[in-house]
Amino acid sequence: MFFKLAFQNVRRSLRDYTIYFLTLTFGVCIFYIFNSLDAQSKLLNIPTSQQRLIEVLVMVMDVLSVFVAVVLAFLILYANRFLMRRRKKELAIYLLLGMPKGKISGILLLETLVIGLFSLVVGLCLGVFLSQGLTVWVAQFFETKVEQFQFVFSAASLLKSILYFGIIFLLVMCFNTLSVSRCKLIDLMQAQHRNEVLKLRSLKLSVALFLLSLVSLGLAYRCILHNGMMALDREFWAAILLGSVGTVLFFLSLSGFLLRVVQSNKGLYYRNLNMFVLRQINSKINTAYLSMSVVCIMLLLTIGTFSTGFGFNQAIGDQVDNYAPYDLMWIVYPGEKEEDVDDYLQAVPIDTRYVSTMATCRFYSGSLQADLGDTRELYVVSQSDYNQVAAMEGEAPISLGAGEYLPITPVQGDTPLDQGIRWRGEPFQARIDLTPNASFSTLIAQMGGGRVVVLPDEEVQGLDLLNSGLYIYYQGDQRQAEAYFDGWLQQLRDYGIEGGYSMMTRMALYEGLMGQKLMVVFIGTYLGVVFLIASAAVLALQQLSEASDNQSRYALLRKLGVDEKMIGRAIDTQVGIYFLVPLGLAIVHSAVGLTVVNNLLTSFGESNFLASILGTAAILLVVYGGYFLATCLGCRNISRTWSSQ
Amino acid sequence: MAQILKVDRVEKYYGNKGNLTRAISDISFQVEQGEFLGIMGASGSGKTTLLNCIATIDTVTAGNISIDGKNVTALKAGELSAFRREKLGFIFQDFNLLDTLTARENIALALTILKTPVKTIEASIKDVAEKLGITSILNKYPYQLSGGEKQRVACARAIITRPALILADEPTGALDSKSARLLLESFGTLNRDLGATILMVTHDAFTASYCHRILFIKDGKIFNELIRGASTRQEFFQRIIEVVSLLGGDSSHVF
Repeated sequence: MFFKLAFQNVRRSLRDYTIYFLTLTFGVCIFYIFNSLDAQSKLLNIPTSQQRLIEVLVMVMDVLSVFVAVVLAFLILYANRFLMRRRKKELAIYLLLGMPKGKISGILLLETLVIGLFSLVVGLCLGVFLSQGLTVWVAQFFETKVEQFQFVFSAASLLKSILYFGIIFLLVMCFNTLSVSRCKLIDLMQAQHRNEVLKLRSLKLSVALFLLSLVSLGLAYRCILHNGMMALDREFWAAILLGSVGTVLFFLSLSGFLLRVVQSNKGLYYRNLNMFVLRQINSKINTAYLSMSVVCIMLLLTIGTFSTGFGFNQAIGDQVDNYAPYDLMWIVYPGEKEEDVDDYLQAVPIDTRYVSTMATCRFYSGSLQADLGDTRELYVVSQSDYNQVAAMEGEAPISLGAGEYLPITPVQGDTPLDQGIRWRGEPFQARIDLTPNASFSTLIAQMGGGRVVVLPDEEVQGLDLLNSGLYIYYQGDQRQAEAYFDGWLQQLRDYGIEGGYSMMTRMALYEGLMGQKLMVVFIGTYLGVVFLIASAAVLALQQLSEASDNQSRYALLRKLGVDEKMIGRAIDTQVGIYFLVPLGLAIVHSAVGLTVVNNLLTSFGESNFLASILGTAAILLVVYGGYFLATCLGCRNISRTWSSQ
Repeated sequence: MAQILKVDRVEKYYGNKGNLTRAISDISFQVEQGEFLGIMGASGSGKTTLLNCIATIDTVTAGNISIDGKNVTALKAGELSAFRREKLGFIFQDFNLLDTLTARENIALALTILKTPVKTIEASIKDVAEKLGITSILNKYPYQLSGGEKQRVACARAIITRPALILADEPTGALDSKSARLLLESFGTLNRDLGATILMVTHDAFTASYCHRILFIKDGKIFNELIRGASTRQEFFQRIIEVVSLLGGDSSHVF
């Protein structure tokens, strides 16, 4: 009997609260997808160097998932509260008929169980299905292909989803039991008749609060623009605090402000149902302003994480060349036994089949006498070493006469050494007619900046060797070459490298950057989607529950002869205002925030911000717009059910 | 006198084949312009069903209802709401004011639905409010008003569109006797000074005594008709009581 009751209740809730179920299902689905990354990556032919990255990413996802679960828990509790409120009358009937509170809690428990199981199963099925797409997506990051379609299923993620959502539903059950044990029959019976106490603020107060909110927001924007998100200093926190306060005040005063403004324009106020709609919003704003503020901030986070994720993606794409001019760079510091690269190459020779061109180059420290005005390191390179390096790219060798040098100043903004230097007491002339090799310049920039002067070979003798480098362009298959040189380095290590070395390959760097990109994009999408769904769902649930509170009002309007079109428009306007105002403010917030983030990102590389914003807008339009439409339809349906009763 | 309402052999059934309930069976009557007609009957007699049919909120099973020369039973669903807002005014037992709007806005709502020019709205509200004595409470919210005040605001909302017919469903049902008296006097004002045609459903003899004519309904049929004529309200009240006791006195059938 109780099971039947519970089951019927759920079936009815299914119809009324499509959005509640959708949100639960989406939540489970996304939770599963992003936690199944581990299983996804195993399928792909990801190089071992990348495995660690995936491990880190999986760990980050683990931590994030706790956070996401907390957000979803709040969302589900919030939604549950609305469901409970809607059913006060039903609970009152059970109590009135003498059903003990324990039994009522039992019914609710069963209901939560049924709802939970249902959404869990649907969500997981959807998740398993959609996560197949994730494999393809992840594969793109590593530029590998899924050679053969294989159905991926992550048992770990499944168990985790069940565990986390199990805990959430357990919380919901506790919450329900608590609220049943605390409710009084008289309150339940009168719940329908009790109106929200209308606290109206005077015109002056509304306007004052509104202006205050604008000032607060303005100050917050100024702080963050000035701070540039470079440091978490007092200015940054001031911006956050002022922004939050401004946002809350904005929503607190907006409806009153809007009402007064429209009221002063009688033509607008008395047109259609404008008066009714505005009053509707104003009457609920005392409870709605907080959730609207929270939604606004969540939307800001959504827009922020999405476009930063996308923007980062764009920014990182082409920068590999800037970091790694050669396929392989190996730098070794002088030791007791071997001094420079050539000694090592003699000890462990390289298989030249994998080498297209290569060069070795020695860097010496020199004490130059030049008025430089800064403290950058100074290196000396011999002409023959330089020519070797330049020859890798087919550049003609340079020949420096006595008393001449070639300055290389790779870091922009440093004073170039083209005014002449004093070398061992003698004045030297700069050959500014020669352009330094571009890859070599990039390499030096990556080594930490510093200036290089190329001197004739004889001038270099007797200087202290700082380090020496081996630069290689691969021949043939990149991965094979990479694997070969991995082995070569291992041989060298077995042989013994005393002075310390550093090895960088373009491929490793590229994969590292891709990993970074994957991380940012993954986190951005995960959090973005969760925040977006959460905010849209909060608004939708609020509107739907409000619509059911308003059923009698719409019924009255119908009796007075308002036609369906007008009522539909009034409902749409109301829902539209609730959805668009927080979005609008969030867009303004993020416009300011993204200006700052854009400046940050350009330091990572060229970013195509427009594309990332368009991408974000598209996702927003689909998810948020979808929720908006579903809410409008749901509200219209609810407003209609009353009149048919 | 023009005929405002013509109810012609109206029948209304509820339920399905297995379980058919006849709420109204073969009722016919007419209401002239400027009349103040009461419909009395016990709970379940079908009076509210009849009112809902006239109000175009419910549909009849058979028969015709014409309001202001228009057969409302033949109107399509889309035309019904337009008809309601143009021709009918409503007063309900539970006031049915929108609690989010002030009294003034509640009254204005009826006009904005009709898309009345904005300029005339405030003037006509002022006009009606003066007649009903609610000028001082226009800026208050329903929760700040007493039941009688709320009902007079509802009256103002019903009359402001100058409807052909005002339908009142147990308007005094939720009022104390003093407020009820005040309200009924307001009805008199509407009827006399503003020329409103009023159709009121009630089961209270005192409330009914303010009408010009009363139809008694029992088991979905017209049982009796009383016309006040030249008699005082006191005398009319006595006559109503007599009919009511006759209406309730079914003892001979029971025993």
